[in-house]
Amino acid sequence: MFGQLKTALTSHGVKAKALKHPLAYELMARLGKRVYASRGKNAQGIWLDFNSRQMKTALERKGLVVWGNAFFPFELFYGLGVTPCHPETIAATAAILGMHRDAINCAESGGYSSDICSFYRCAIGLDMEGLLPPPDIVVSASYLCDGAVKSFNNASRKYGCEHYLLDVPYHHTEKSRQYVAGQLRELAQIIAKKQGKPFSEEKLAVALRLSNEAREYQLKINELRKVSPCPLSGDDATSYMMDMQFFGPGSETAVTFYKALYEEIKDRVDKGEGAVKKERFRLLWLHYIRPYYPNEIISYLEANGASVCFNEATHVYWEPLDPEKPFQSLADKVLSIPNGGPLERRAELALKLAEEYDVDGVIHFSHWGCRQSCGGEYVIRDMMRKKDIPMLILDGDGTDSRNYSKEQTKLRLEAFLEMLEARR
Amino acid sequence: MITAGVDIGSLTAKAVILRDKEIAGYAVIPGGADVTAAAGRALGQALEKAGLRQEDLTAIVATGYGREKVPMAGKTVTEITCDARGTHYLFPEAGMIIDIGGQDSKVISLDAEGRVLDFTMNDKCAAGTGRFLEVMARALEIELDQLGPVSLKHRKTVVISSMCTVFAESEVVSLIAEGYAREDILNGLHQAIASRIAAMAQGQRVGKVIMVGGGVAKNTGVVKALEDRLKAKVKVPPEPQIVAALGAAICAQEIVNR
Repeated sequence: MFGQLKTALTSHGVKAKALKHPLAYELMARLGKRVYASRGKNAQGIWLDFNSRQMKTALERKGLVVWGNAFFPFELFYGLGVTPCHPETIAATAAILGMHRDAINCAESGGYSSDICSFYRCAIGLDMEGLLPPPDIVVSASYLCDGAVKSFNNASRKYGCEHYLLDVPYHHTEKSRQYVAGQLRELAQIIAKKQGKPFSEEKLAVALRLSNEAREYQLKINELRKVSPCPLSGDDATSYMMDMQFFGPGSETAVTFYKALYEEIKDRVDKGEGAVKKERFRLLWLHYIRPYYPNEIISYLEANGASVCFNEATHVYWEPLDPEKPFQSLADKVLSIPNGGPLERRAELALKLAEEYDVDGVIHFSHWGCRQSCGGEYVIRDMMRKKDIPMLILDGDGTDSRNYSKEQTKLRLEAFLEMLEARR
Repeated sequence: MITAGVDIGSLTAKAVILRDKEIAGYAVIPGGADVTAAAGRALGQALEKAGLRQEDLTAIVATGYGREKVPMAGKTVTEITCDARGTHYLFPEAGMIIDIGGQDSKVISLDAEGRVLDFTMNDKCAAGTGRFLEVMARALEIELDQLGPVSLKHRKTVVISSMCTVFAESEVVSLIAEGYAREDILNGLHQAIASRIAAMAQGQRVGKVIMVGGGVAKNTGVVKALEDRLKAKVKVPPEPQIVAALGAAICAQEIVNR
């Protein structure tokens, strides 16, 4: 009886119906914050509260709803006071909730090829099911997560709203800086006009100052992650911490979040507590993501004494922003991302991080459909090899669990740990 | 000291009994749905050949994809590490292993002490593995043990473009219909497998001496094609299917001595 009730309540249809209602997000925000706080994970609670409230506001259609993709500088949105919506986070959350399969099937039946990054297939599927807040404006950046460009463009047509593309050049030069800054300025004016109010450079400056404040805490957190045993779990680093770095900068909550996370980590370091009971191996996680549907990757590593002590996604690569020159400094942030531009930039950073965090090995999670990361994996592996740092290339998929084979993945991880053990 | 290694692969179960430095007995039997029973049978047969009983064993290590379903084993070790140990025992000069099994293939680089330096495994599909060759043998109506000898008689070059088992099978059927000779088609298949494996090997430091193991190492056509492509000295053990089980028995000795 209870089993049947549980099945009925957790079915895709019931979850989908509930998640169309703003109240579901209010509930999620309140419950989440309380539950995580009781477990000593205030930062995760703040993250859930922040995202749930953004979804609620967007569904209630309060203010201008703007869709943006990962790597677009969200400081601009917070400076303008719009309600941001980031479909990649929603796709990953759908995978956590077990709603990814139906969503992906839905997108594929709508003509989206299985070669497209599964985060976008999942997001588009969720949108087709009516689970994403309708946008007033859609914005995407042309670099890195390029799956957004076309899928967001299609979404803008569906909703009859405008789609703006932030075209990011390959090289970081003065000319490209001015080019990106010019586009950001133009977009800010367009959005402000749509809001029916004049664009305020002072409000944008506030967002930049908040972004800088969060950045300071991020640097402090990353410094503490050099301690052995590593105080932060790889699961946390590759999920909500990374997500806040993508979509939080410029908001007041991001500062609160990173401050809380810093305090949690500092407390663990002071007590000598680590994510792993006995840290035998320290690992660097390359490429941004990991699978978000139920999987055993990081829990297996941690159960066997291997901590993911750093991940490239949470590296602070940008210089402090200059509130006096908001567009130029946001352009610099965009153009300085190590995963953009020449591959040497990313490879050199990977090597630097491996050395700084004193890792025993590197895992490159090669997400199906991600050309930017998979394209460079062998170059990075060869570079690590020259420095005698073992690297495992782990093929997988962040959102589409059909591409996950538990036994095959476990065998690779187990063999990799045996290899590290034999080097001792 | 007497130890045993049990390797549960996708198609076969293997067991090796190691008495100090000498292989006292081994068995290779078809696997089945009941992995635990297959492990018991393989170990039983190997013990029988060695003239020993299970009580005589100091330690048992299990490996292979079914390694966690071998209740008599005290420990499990992956086939990557076991392959390395077994190969180092058989060919201490080997710097690389190419292991083509029933449903996966691996390339492993070794250091001078036989430790794993790096490894690559095929994707999550059976392209270019034992299962692939079984399907092709059926399409060509030829016994598995004849694949190698027949392919070595080829005269013309036939290029097989697909490595997907299903697509390659239909390609083979079309080639038969077009009148191509079996030996030429087979050679084309072996070249396709070798090309794929060689690409995996070239991603690592190709050693001067390569041990080719796993069931597909019994296919002389694939071994010859690999040798030609990698331009390295290829060694095939007399019983290529027991390398990982042998490595597991060596691991068992190491565990006892630790």
